[in-house]
Amino acid sequence: MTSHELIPHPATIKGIITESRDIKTFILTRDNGHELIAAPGQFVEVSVPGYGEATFAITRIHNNKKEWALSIKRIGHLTKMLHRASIGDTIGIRGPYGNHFPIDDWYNKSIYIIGGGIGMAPLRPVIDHILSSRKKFGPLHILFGARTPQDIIYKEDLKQWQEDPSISLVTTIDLPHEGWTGRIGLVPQVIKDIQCSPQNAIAVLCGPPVMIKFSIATLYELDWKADAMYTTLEMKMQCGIGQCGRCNIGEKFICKDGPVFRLDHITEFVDI
Amino acid sequence: MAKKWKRLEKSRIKEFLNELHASYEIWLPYLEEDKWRFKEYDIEKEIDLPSSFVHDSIKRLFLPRRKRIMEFNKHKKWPVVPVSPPAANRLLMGIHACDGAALQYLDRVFIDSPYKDTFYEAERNRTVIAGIQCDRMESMCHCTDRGISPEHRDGMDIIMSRTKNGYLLQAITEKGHTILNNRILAETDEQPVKKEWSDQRYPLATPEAFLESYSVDIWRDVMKYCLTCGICTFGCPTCTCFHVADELYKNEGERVAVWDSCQFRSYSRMAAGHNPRARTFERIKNRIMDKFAYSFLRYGQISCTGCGRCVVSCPVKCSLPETATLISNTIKQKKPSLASSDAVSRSKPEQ
Repeated sequence: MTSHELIPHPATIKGIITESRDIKTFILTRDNGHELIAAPGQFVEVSVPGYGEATFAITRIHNNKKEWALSIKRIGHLTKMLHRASIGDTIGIRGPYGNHFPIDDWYNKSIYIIGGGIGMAPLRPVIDHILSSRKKFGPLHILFGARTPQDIIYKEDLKQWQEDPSISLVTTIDLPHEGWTGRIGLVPQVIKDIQCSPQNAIAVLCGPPVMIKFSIATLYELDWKADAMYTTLEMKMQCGIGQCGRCNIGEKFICKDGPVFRLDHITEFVDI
Repeated sequence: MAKKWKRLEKSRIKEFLNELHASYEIWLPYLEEDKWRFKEYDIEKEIDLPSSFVHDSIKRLFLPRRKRIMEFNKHKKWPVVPVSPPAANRLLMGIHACDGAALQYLDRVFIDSPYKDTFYEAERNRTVIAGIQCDRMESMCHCTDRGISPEHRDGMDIIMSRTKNGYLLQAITEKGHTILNNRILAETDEQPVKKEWSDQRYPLATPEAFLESYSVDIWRDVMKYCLTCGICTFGCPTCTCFHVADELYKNEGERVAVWDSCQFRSYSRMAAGHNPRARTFERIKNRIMDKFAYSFLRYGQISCTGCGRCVVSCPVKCSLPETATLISNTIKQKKPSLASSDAVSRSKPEQ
């Protein structure tokens, strides 16, 4: 008798990085020692028994595949409990679930990674993947927007990406802030400012719904086609396996048929 | 030559069930306060199987309203104890065609999946379904508009038909044969009487046409009085949505999957507050589209078997099938020819 898919398995917190005032990154490893075989874009279900379960994008898989990272924003009951956790604590894990970015179809293309806030979490493994086989891809552009300088996450990575001559990195914040020398403006505006070119290019977007909506509108203005844009969508998910029902967009379940979608496959059912 | 039937005299039905009761948990509909509901077999009570509409769908016997998944104790390091599914043999008697077809739909959702629901599968495996043909259709019944008839036997192990002084029975599956292999039943040349069934009560547009209606401007005006109470989803034998919750009492707790409804505002509301279907008409539209189009694209079967429970249970008389028909008619008027190939090809998302 196989175990029920909704039963979580134990994982231990190996490390905690405080990314911003409300986002922490947890480095986890499975208690059974198994590797986590996951592709960029996939997610796991995280449980704290007594406080529920929710889905989180895998934000990094470390080289040994035995450790992986989740960036979690403190927003509800479960995430509040997770933010109280310490190194060595056990939490529940199921997955990975969902589809992934078809990165290997993007060889030799320019890649625009466009992320807003915690939306950068599922995009970081895409960047990691491209950097690990850098020669196969064309120019890499990273556009990262956050509300304020305090909301900027992955500061270590940003430093490395900034120094990497093969990456053009743009960071922006919503409103002027003392001491900030980077760009100011919402992500869609910056897309326009830097004139993201659709020429032999792929755009990958993730962020708050309003950012995605207007970023896509701007990309259309710049002559982008829906089949060159990918996004990873979020809806409330519970089961992660296409059964509990709530995450549908049209006939597709975000947890099972997504979370990664090429835009032309969903435009009909999303008001974008 | 038509397949033979076996005869069960009404006077011997309890004798028959009492024998089975030694090795089967038995459930069947009983009439209580004018409503037919599935209950466990009671030796004391008279048995008279329903000739038509049963208020209670059999969904809850396969997907309990509150299904325990695991137990835990807050203080133990890794506290999770999985709950075992029930294993005792079970006989469900007196199920109509609409619920039989609904079971087939549930199988597609919970068994024909890379992530099988082992609880549901265990409930299915332990259960023998003895269905009964309806004698008549009530005013809200519309299985005939959903490609089913009251004589349909899909999803059943045994089919029964009422005669003057008892029932005719025929085994459909091996499981059914085991039950009917009993000396109380006598083989007979009698055949159930064929009936004509009416249709066109709540006709529907095709799933493809429904998809085309997504942006048609009729949705805001349908079911205006809907309270979004969700009773139609709970009564529906093919509504499968559930909510996973942790229930904690002091340090002991359980994780449970409880019935949920797409009509509830909280259903899709995310932790940060964003709600993609915050408005009532958006949720009604999603429900109707899911019933008559999305489920077809996902599983090759629409998720309505015409049982009519949503019609009966609605406290404000917003009829879902009537609305579906109204929308179907509106689409037909607006778009006489509908391209279907695009819509169907979308059923297989590119990976």
